[in-house]
Amino acid sequence: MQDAPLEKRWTVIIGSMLAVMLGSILYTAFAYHAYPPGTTVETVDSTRLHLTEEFREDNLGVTTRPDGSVLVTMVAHRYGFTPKHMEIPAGKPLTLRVATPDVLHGLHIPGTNINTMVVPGYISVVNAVIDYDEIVKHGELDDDGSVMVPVFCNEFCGLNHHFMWGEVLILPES
Amino acid sequence: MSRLSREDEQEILASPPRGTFALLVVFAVLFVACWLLLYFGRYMVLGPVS
Repeated sequence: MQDAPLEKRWTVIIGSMLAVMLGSILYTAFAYHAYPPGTTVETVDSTRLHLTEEFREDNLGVTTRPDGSVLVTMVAHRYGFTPKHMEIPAGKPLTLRVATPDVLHGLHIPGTNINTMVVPGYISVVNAVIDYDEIVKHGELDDDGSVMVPVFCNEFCGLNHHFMWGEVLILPES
Repeated sequence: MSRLSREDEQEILASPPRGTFALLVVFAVLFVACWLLLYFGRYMVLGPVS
């Protein structure tokens, strides 16, 4: 027990580091609702995805809900996203629902923290708010203030994985 | 180069490792500062997701 004070000091320092980091994560979780996707897992039959009401081709795309929030329904498939082009307003609560009829894909929108795997048999759900000031730094700014950003697949999904992309036009908050 | 006396040697061996603590504190401060910079400066500015 000669080294007990020594051990205590090491423990206090490491404990303080963990407390600061975990405290920051908890603070942002409660204050900004930043946390991993919820515990509810939604499944879907990948082989019949195009026959479901939600992921039928003419139901895909961007919808504005009555409360002003935005719902985006997408299908990620070999080798592209449907719809390939979308227009999403910045600064509004956004729910992204993505599914795949074939293999594992990814979905990443640079300039945002929207980055998810799309696993066959499951619906990937991401809730986010796109910050216009940040997205401007990552996309192509148009004269009308809208910003074009790409959508990438970031999980290797086959030989033409590198051709799998889409684009999102972020509309300014006004 | 002067040799340490037996008493000096014993005193050094019995004293706490202050240099090691100083290194540990410097490492801890740098590590936490860099972590906070990445978390709040690079991750959270892009908008929270859930």
